[in-house]
Amino acid sequence: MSNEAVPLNYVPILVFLVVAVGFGLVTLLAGRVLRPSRPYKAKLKAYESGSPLFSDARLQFPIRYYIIAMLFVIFDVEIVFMFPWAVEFRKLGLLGLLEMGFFIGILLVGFWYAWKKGALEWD
Amino acid sequence: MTFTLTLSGADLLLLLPEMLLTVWLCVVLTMDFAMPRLPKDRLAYLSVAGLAGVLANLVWFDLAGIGGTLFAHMFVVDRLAVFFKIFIVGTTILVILASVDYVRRFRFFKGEYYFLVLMSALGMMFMASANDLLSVFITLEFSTFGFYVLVAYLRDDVASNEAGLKFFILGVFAAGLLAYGISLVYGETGKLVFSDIASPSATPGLVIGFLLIFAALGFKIGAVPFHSWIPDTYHGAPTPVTAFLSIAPKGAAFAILIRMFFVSLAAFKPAWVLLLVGASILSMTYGNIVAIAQRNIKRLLAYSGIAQIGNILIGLAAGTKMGGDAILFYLLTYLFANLGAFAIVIAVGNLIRSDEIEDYNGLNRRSPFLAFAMLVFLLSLAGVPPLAGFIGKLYIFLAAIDEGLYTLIAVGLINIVISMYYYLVVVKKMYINEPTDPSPLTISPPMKVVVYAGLAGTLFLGIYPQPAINWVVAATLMFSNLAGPAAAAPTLVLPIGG
Amino acid sequence: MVPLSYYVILSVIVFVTGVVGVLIRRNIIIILLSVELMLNATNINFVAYSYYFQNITGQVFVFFALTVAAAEVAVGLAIIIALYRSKSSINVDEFQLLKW
Repeated sequence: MSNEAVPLNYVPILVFLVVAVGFGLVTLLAGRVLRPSRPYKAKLKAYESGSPLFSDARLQFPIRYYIIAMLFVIFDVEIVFMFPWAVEFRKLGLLGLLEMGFFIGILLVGFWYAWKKGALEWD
Repeated sequence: MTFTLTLSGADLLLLLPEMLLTVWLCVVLTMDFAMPRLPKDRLAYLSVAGLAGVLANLVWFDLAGIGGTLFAHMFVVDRLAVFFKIFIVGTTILVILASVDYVRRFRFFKGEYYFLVLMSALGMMFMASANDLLSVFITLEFSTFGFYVLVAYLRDDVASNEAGLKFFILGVFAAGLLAYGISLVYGETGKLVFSDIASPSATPGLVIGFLLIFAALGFKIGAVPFHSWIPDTYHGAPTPVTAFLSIAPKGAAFAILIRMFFVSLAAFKPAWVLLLVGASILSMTYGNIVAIAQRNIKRLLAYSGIAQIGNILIGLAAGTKMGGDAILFYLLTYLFANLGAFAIVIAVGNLIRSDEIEDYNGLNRRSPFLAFAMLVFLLSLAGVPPLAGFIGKLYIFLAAIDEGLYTLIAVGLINIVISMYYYLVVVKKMYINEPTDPSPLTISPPMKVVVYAGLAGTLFLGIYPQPAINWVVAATLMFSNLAGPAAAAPTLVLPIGG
Repeated sequence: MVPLSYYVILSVIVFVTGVVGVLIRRNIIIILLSVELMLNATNINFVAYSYYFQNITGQVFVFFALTVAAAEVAVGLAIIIALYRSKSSINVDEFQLLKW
């Protein structure tokens, strides 16, 4: 297959994209043009399973929420070091495994600390 | 290019001090939360015991001349690195001993304090071994994270919180500058190891990159014009943390500065000498003049610290092996005098709950020992003859004379006179003024150890400096081929443009 | 292929945005975000140069820069929460007890 042919393979995808976007736009616009528009106050309110609203959604979260979020940020990023290790796992061999064990061991001490200090208790 | 991971037993040996400390700080942390009823003082002594083991290990490295590089030259162990590690570990031991009384005042998280101090020390030990810009970035951040928390440790004290905030904002800003500077240097050279980025020509990217890195390290050591965080952070932080912050990170940052300027940038010496001379003159003059107006002893020591950093920069500006020796020696004298002075501030602060210089009135009546020790430390900081500070300043100036930096020396001498004034004001208050409250003051045993260590170091280095001089000369042997003034005439590309 | 200079220009723009943000904004959260921008500018540079040199070192740096950024956020948020408890504000100008 020659190089010039490559873009041609993508033409169906392009057509599909145009059709998909066009269909969405046309149906939305058609709905807007055709439907009657008679707004009143109760109708404009946010819909919360039929019950009346009782507070703003932007309320203050308990401080615990931030602690969990922080723990997430810290432990989440460690994954970044595990991906390259997993990809090159065979090459790195036993030594890599030991290194990763050491790395995770240090993390576990931190995790154990957070656990013991009650950072993971929800109430 | 792929990284091959090969480590032999001999390679791991190079990492032994760091591994010991890593394991030890995990032990300290675990014992803190697993045994909640353990008295927290025990943790302090446990930390000191671990650090003593690390220190013994480092001394063995130094005596046996063990060295080498690891991880594709990212991590180096040589005499210079070992010197700075001993410096850092020694400082940490003294700081922990000086903290014991202070930590009793904390309401929460007493045990974690020691853990964080050890963690910062570990980060700084890695800084001393950093041999490429990637490890510079990681280790610098690693050591600073502990300090961010330590500075803001007094949760109920607004001043401490505020100090932590300012330190944090300027610290992460400096980290951003450092990272971007490193990326520019990488873009110009494609390498990160110090010896590989010694590029023959100064392209704009390289110049801006190194200026950004210098700015970030300047933040770290608190040289003017990057000093703005120093007074507030020193003032608001818990006093033992201030003592730690004023000494150990400076030493670690100078390890990096020496490697960067002496190895990577040796070819551009004429250009960076001007930069360093400027930073040095500004730091000395600004620090000393503003120190005169201070009424709080921690702020006074903060500004005097800025001035001392200016003095040390003279050695870096000399850019010779002797300049390197002088930096190392000066750091030793600064360690004992400054830590000793802060130990007195901690002791007095624990007893009278005040850091105002006014409250040092008549200290001699209340505790002749504390007043005498403070006198020795302040005079050593000022550079009075029989004490360590004098030899340190002399060494630095001699290194500068060899390079013909006469303006710098003149400014330095004028600054010694200025600094003498504000140090002597404190001395006068201690010895001549009448105390408002004449009750005698007593200090605890661990604090006494710190003060005695400071006194011993200050007097020993001042009266018999030869062993220490031999040590620092040996530590910088690898720079003995540095170009002297005659040979330093390479194709000078101006610092801007290229 | 997109030339290298485009990436560098993008990273300079992002970096300068971050620096200006740190210098002129007063809200600590925004300052923290601006610092993240500075670090991300670094990452753009490193990945672009790494591809240009066909040299993995730059990508390794990015991994560590990501971690450092996460740790910075964690420590920074903790300090901000402590401050907010005592001051009920996260505006830098409110913290004037010690002179800047």
